[in-house]
Amino acid sequence: MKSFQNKIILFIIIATTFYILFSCSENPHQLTLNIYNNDIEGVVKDTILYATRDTTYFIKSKVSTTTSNRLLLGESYGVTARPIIRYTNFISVPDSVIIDSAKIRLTANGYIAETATPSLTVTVFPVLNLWSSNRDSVWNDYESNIDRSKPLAESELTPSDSGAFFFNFNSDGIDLVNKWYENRDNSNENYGVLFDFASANYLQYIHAITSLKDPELIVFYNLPDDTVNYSDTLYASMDAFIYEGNVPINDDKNYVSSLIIYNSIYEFDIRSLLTVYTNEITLIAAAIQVPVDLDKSLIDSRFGVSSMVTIRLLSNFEDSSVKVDSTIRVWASHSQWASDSSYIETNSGSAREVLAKSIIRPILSEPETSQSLAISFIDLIETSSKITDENDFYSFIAFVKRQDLDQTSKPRLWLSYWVPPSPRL
Amino acid sequence: MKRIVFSVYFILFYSILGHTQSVFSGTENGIGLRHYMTTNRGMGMGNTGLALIDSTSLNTYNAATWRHINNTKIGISVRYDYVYTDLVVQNFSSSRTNFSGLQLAIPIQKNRWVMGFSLVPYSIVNFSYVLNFKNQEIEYSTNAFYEGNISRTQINLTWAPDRRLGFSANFLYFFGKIEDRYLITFDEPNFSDSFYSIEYRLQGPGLGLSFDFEPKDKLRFGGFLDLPVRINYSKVYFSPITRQENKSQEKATIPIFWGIGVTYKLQPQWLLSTDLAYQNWSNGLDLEGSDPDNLDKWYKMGIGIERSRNPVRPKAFFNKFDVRAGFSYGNIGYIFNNNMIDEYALHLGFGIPFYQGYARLDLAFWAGIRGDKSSNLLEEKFFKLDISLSAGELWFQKIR
Repeated sequence: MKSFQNKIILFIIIATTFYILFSCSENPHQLTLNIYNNDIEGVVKDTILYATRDTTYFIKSKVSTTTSNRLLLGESYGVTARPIIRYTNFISVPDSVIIDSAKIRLTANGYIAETATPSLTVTVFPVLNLWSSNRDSVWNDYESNIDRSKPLAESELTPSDSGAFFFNFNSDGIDLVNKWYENRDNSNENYGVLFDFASANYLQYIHAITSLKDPELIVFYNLPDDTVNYSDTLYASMDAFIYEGNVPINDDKNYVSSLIIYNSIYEFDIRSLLTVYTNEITLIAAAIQVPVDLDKSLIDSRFGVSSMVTIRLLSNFEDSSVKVDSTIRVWASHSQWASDSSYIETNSGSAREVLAKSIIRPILSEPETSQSLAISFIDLIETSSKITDENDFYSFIAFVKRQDLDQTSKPRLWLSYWVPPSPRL
Repeated sequence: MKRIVFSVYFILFYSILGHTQSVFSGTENGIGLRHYMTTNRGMGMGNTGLALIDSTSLNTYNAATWRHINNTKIGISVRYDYVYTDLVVQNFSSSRTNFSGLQLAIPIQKNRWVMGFSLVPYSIVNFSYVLNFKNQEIEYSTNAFYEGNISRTQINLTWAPDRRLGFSANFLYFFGKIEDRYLITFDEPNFSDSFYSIEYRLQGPGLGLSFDFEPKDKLRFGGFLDLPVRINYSKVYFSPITRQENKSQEKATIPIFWGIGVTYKLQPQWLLSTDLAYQNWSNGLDLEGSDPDNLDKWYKMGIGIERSRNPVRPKAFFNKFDVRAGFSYGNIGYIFNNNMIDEYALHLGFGIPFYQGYARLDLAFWAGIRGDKSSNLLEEKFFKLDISLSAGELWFQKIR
């Protein structure tokens, strides 16, 4: 009897174990129709908020150009720029040589011109004081920081996208290069040169350090007791460009610009969403669309508008001391034209997701904060990664102000959001 | 006792496996599908059992019948559940094994006073699905997970003033949580995937009564009454805007729940049993401001018969164990597609005694249909297997 009971129990346990293990199904189920047919699933919606206010703020007149990938030379669209370069690395040149000739080679990297017949005569002058940046005080008056009585080299430039420019040093120039060579162990005695011009009607871009076509100093020399003439190519150890001027501002436009920094500020009534939806919502995408006046804009042909960002404004809309949230370290660039070609809008893709999650969403959750967004070139964003910075080019974008547009053409913020399901209980 | 512990462990091992899913358990305003079982023995007899006396297994809802035990008893149950869901345009299936009940009874005075404890699922929510949407050219998927359960614990004191009559007073405590989670995902990189969850927590004490009455030797009545339970209900969700946990709290009411059953001994080995259990869920948890229109009365009725084993003549195969069969009909308390949801099931059960009759393994197989494709747009065909182990030994009585 006991043996029978044990067999029955054993059989049942084994049978149910196998049945249970092999009959489990996949979860969750893919449904092809909404069987509940109520609000429990939530819904995706979108809306457009038009800017309630817009303005332009001047941020700063100079940015550091020591890390720029392009050096600017010339004058155009209100800005005058002059490269400054130091050559201190003579380690490849043997000791006790005499440099008998030298020249500088610069490689073009695009240009912008206002006229059809651009021309530029460039003269190289020695710099008189030590500098480490274009924003050093010695450049407040650049004339006093060069020895205009000693031109070192001169060259006639024509606009070029990729050609080379050579500056052959005269005897003063060769003497200066020999002096740099003799003091090669003390770079503080080497102040470099400045590329100056009397007048210009275009801006020539030149490859800077680390751009793979660095500014070169080519030296020719003889070794003692050797009649062979040797040459060596030295790369610049420091470069930058000094610049001055201003963006040609029209009062009836808003501006975003590089080098001389202007930001456009747009205010949207973002938190009005919360009054429409008493249940909480979650933002899933956002894009800002701003009408642009192309005729009044200068857009760098190489970079387009790709370096523009939308940043959350922390200061009040009225406060000209603009403060932005640069700690978020997210940015949404604008590199595409909207379908009607008169708007610039946030890139499709992850930029829209980031704009919603990291910039707009905090505005919803902090009721006392500004509801404004700043559009800027990206110098306000600190990042450890190498990015194309606004000091690589000169550009300004003119946006049409909201009061000059009808309601549906105004600067707008498109928001897509998910209204979560209503509670079951 | 080692055997008991081993068996309990073995059965609990099953309870972590799988997920059965019922579309109806995810219905709004509800707390899932009600889980109702008196005993595994009764489940084999058409989900009856309120008037079944049993000296081996413990009746969950009618603790008055516990007066018939002679020693300390423990019972544990698990349920294997297979559901085949048939929608108009698709079908799918799922299965699950889960904990179904635990009872412990300790006689204080033989056949007169018993105290005990039980823990059973009260309602179960389990359904998850993926549904694709297209809204204004935006395509996305909603992954929804409805999971949770409410449990009913009971501490009871059973008193038998007479050999034909027993009562129990029950202190009840309800607790549990239901979590609805949603994950919305987009194929396009423009959109941020999002997550949202709401957790409903319910807990609170209640009181209940049960009775067991034998007016004649062959006829027995039994029943129970769970008074309305005022419980604390809180809703906890994580705000997608503030990124903070929000909590709202209010009072809710679990409606009165009662059941009554009758058994009649047809012959020494044949027993007939019938039950009715009822609970009006029309107002749901009676939450303030809530006026649910998709809830209905919950009820369950059944009839069953048992041929018990014959320990005097154990050599015949069918005398070695109990055999049961029955039929049940009920309403699950929801309105779907403007129609009530009926549930029919056929039941078959076996009781296999062992350990010299001090313990018993009960099996109840039942299969049925819930809902109707024409009236509810879907139906669920289910098969369930309840496995219960009841055992006992003398505890405190020896030392008295």
